[in-house]
Amino acid sequence: MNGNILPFLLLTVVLIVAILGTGGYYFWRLRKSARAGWEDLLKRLIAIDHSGVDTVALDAIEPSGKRRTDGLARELDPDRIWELLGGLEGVQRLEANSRVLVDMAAYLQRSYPEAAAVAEELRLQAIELEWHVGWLRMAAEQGSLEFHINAYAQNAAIAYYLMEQRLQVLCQRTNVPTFRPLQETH
Amino acid sequence: MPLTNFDLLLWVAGFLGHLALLLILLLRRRARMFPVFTTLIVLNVTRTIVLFLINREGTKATYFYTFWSFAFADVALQFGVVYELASKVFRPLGEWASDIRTRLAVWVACSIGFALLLTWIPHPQSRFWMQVILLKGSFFSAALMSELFVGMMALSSIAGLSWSSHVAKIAQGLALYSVATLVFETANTSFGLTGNDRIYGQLSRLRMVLYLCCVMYWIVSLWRNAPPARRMPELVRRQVSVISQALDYRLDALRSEEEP
Repeated sequence: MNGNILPFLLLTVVLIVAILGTGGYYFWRLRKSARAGWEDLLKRLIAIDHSGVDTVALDAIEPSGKRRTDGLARELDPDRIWELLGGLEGVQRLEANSRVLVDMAAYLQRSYPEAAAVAEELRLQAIELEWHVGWLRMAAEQGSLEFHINAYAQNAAIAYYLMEQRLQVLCQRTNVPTFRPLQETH
Repeated sequence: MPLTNFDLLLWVAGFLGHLALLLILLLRRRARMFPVFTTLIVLNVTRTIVLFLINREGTKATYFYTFWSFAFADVALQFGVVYELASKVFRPLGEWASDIRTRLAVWVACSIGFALLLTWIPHPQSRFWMQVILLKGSFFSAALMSELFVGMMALSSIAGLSWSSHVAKIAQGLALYSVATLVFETANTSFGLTGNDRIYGQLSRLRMVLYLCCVMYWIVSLWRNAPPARRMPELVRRQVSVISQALDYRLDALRSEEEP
C-alpha cells in the first residue's frame, strides 16, 4: 500500500462529502430561488409584524417619512423597542426579509437582463442591509444589544415602515390584486 | 496499454460528440459567448485526430509525450472555462462585484491550499518518477476544480447573483465531471501505478463514459435557446424604485450611526 494513505483517504473523503453536501444544498437553493416569481417574493418581503414596526418607526418619523423634531420624538426606550419588534425572533424575521431582498435582486437580474444596473443596485443594498441586521442579531445573542438597539433596530423599523407604506400606495394606485392581503393587515 | 474494442468505441464516440458540440457552438453562435469553452472543445477534437494518427504511425514515446502535452493543455483550458464562467456570474455589470472580490479571492486561495495539502500527503507507488507527478497533478487539478465549482455556487447563492441558462448548464456538466474525476483520481493515487494498470485502465474508461454523458448534456443544452429576455414591466420598475429608496434611507441611517 502507498505511504500516508490513511490520512490522505480520510481527508479526501471529508472533502468529497463536503463538496457534495455543500454543492447539493446550494444547487437546491439556487433552483428554489429560480422558481420563485416576483409576486411571491413581494409577499414574503412584507410578511412582518406591522403594528410593532409602525410604532417603533413613528416614534422617530412622521407618517410622511420626515424625521420628527418635536419633544416626544424617540422617546421609546431600548427595552420597549426590542419588545415591539418581537425580540430576537423579530430581528430574525428582519434578517429573513433581507434575504428575500437578495432573492428579489437575483430574480430581476435573471428575468430582465436589460435592467442589470437596477438589479445590481438593489442587490448591493440588500447585501449591506443583511450585514447590518445580522450584526444586530449577533449583538443580541452576545448580550451587547443595549449599545446598538436604538441605532440599528429603530432605523430598520423606519425603513420597513416607509417601504411598506410606499409599496401600498403604489399598489392602490395601480390596483394590483397581489397586495390585497397587505391592505387587509392594516 | 493495448487498446480494446471498447476503447476504440469510446474514442470514436468522443470524437463525434466533440465534433457535434463544436458545430452547435458555431451554428448556434454560442462560441462568441464562450470562447474558452469553445477552444477546449476544439482542443479535444484536435487531440483525437492527432493521437489517432500517432497511434497508427508514430512511436510509443511520441504518443506518450503528445498525450500528456494535450492533457496539460486540457487542464489549463478547463481552469480557463472556470474563469470564463465565474466572470459571467460575478461581473453583472462588466466589473467584478465589489462585495464578492475578497470572498472569491479567499476561496480560491483556500482551495489551492487545501488541494496542495491533500496532494502533498500521499506517496503513490509507481515505476517512474514521472508517473508520480502525473498522478499528483491529476489529483490536484480534480480537487481544485471541484472546490472552485462548489465555491462559485455557494458564493453566487449567498450574494444573490444568478446564473444564466447556458452558463449554468456548462458549469453543471463540468462540476459533475470534476467531482467524479476527484473520486477516480483518489482511487488512482491510492492504488498507484505498479505495472498492473488494470484498475487505472478501468477507471479511465469509466471516466470517459461519464465525460461522454456530459458532452451529450452540453449538446442538448446548448442547442436549446435560453429563455427570451423580457423588458421589465413599468409596475415592477416602480416597485423596485420604492424598495430601493427605502433601503437607501435605512442604510444611510445605519452608516451614520456607525460613525464615531
